[in-house]
Amino acid sequence: MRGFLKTLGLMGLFLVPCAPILGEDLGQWLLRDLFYTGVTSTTDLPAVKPLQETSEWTQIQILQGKKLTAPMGDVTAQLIAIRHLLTGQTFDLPTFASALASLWTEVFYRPIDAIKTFVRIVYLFSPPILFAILSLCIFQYLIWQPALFYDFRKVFKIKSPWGVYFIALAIGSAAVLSQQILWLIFLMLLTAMLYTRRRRFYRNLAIAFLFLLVTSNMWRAFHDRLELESIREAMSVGKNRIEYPLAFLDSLPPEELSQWAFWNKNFLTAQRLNEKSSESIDKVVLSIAIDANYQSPRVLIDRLEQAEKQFGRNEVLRFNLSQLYLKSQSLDLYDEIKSELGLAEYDKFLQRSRMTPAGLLPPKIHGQFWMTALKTFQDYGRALNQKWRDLSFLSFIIQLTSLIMPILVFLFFSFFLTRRTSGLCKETGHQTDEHDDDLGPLSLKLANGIEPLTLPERNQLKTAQLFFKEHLENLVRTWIWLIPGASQLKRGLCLSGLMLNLMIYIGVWAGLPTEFRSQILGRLGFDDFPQFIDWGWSPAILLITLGLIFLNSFWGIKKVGSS
Amino acid sequence: MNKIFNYFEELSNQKWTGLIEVKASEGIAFIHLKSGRFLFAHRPIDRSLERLEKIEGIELPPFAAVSAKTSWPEFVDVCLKINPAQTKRLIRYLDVDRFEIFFRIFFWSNLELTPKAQDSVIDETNQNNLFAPIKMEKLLNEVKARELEWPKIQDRLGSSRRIFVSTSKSPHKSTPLPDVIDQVLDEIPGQEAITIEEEMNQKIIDLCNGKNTVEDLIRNSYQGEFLVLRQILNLWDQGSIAPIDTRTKSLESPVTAFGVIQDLTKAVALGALVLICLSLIRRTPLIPIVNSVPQELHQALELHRVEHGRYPQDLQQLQQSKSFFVLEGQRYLYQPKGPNRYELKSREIR
Repeated sequence: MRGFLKTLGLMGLFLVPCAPILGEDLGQWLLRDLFYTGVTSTTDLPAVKPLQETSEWTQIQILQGKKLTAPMGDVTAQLIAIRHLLTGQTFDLPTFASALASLWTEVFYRPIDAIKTFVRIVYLFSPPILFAILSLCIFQYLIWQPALFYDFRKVFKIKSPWGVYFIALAIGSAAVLSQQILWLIFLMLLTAMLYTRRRRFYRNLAIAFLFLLVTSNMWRAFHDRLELESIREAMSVGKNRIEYPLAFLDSLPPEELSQWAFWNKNFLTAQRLNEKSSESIDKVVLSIAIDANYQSPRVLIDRLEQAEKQFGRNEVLRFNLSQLYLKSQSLDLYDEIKSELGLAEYDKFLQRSRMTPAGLLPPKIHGQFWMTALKTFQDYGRALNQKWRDLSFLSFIIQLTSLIMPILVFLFFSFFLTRRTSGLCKETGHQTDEHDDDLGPLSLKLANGIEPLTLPERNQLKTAQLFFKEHLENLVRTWIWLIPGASQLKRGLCLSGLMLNLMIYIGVWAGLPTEFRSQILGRLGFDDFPQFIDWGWSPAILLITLGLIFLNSFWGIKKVGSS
Repeated sequence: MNKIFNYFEELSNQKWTGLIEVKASEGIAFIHLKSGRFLFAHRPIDRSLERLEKIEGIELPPFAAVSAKTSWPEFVDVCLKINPAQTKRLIRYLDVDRFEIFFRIFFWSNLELTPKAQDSVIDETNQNNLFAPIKMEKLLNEVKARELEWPKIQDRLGSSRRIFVSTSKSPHKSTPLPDVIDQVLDEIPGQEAITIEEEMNQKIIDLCNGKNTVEDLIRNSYQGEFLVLRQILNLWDQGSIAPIDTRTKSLESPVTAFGVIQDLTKAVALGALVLICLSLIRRTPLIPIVNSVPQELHQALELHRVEHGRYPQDLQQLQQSKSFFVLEGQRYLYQPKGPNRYELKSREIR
């Protein structure tokens, strides 16, 4: 009990300095008002100049139909701008090239921002990806229908021909209603793994989904970590947006929060927050960078020299000192520091300092790029440990089951059911007793050649072979319009079929109206992450994709017909 | 059958020339031999006319014009003359019939053979080698083969009441194994192999409409019982036709309403179980997730402000605006605070 109270007390102590920070305006409203004024004002205000390099500025230019000169901002805005330049009525090559170069630079300059955008794009395109896998499984079921139906009927003791469809519909509806589409695909892949001759392919896909399901919480944590790190990245290399996921600011320590307020030009809050952080050289550097707006260079030089004596040499401190020497016309000292820092380093600092109000730099935010994933693992483990310690026994069991359920299901399918499913005769398409039985009784008799087939048997075999062949061809003819890879799947080329499905579905998805896409994402339960900025309604993409569908279908049908 | 077989062998050995009149329960036929070799066989003219009527596109002389006294070569001449465009086709049909009747008499019952020795009146070289002499031995070998094949055909087909139906599969253009008749004809100089098979196949496929029995097929075809049955089996092997009973064999057992209800109940129960399990899993995130408002939503609000001069009254208004951002509005709590301020929180705490 005493230990618990101690912990509580310590936690309370930790929370006290943070309490007033939560939800506090760190200069966001100032920025927003400035942005609004800058966009709506006809005069070119100097304070607005830095805002013209933000994502929102590019977006508003596109929205208002203005000519893009140099698309700026984050990766998302630049991608939108590139699309806009490509689909515009006139194509401006220099602007387009500049936008591409800018995007290329941005990706390397702000890797976390780029990864975050990539994650969101993948998330946005997850429905066509999932649908491609879903259709792959459905076509596999259609080919293996006799074996699948036989086993379902046996297991569930089904009495009507529609019983299997009822059960499939019930499980599918349950997954959609509970918004567990990943689980549905996972189960479908496992079932397809049972009824195929390409077990390794489906098993690998199922393993990928198993990994996704087991680590889904961690991916959420990873995304949160990316959001937080994007804020730190903005402080480190410069803000390229007006808006950031502000809820993550609460996770920052006071000295970084203070710097965030500094970049937003809310100096009072910045100074107040800075006072709460522990004594360090970074605290002094930031404090002086803030006070540079009010104090004379001479006073600031004294303070910096004193700090250097107290804490030792620091690159940012030296640079700020050089700038103050320059202002106070102490050019010898200025030159000395400049040569000491090196030209490249000095230029880098100088570029950055031009974004600050008084030309002095705040302390460095140390890059966390390579540590992001590791930290996510650490946080995940810590949170898991903490959460499980607090759980009741029943909750613990539920949590544990939910975590290991996908693994148990996978093992059940892989080791128990694989040995118990029916097979399919590859010549007649009839159900066989075991999965490994590739030939039915008659085909086997013919293949073995020990006992010759009687004439009625031979006739029966030939008829079945022809019916099966015709059935497969009909399947392709019927389904190729919905499942573009049907022709490949019939020939057992699963990967090619999947890739073709993927390509066509992504094309259709990209061509759909945004509202429609948004509704589908919401229905499927894919609203965990914020939705991507609209890419607009693209009839051209839709038309091209429809053309591809027609070409593929005609080609597939022709191929089936000629065979 | 052996007696007839020996009889023809004897005639062949004696190099006998003349006409053999055959009378049996199944009908009447005439067989012409020359020096122990087979020249041709035919039915009475009236019966032949009836059979030729089954061939499409062939014009036939009126019965009065070819009275019973007309000889078979004269009848053939008349037929060929009034069908100048169909000569080759007609010859092929007659060729088939020429041998087919000879083979059939071995399967007839109550047979009565009346030999009439006479000098041949037929010009063998005339009429496209239609009456070219054939060694009796070859034909008797074919008879032996058919004797063995016939019970197998009957066994495979089962009942003559069986009904076949054509499938969408087209028959092969050539038969995998040449018929014995083909082999015989191949040896005749200037004689083309029988290529009317496709036509005959098509005729049978057309007749396999799901209504005609095997009996009907034989009755409506020109070739005769043996060839028709053999062709049916051939087409069946190729998948062009299939008996209705085979197709229906795989159909389900009768469906009862009770069975359907039982299946529905099972499906609903299973669906409910899956729904509960999956919902439980969804509601148990293992780590605290930061409950954030997406930056895009803030961006959309800024764009709305620039467009309309103020922030929207609610998120619905934001969605309806020209702004190009669409989102699920249920998860966020939005409140305008005066003309230039708002408060936006995430509703869901997870």
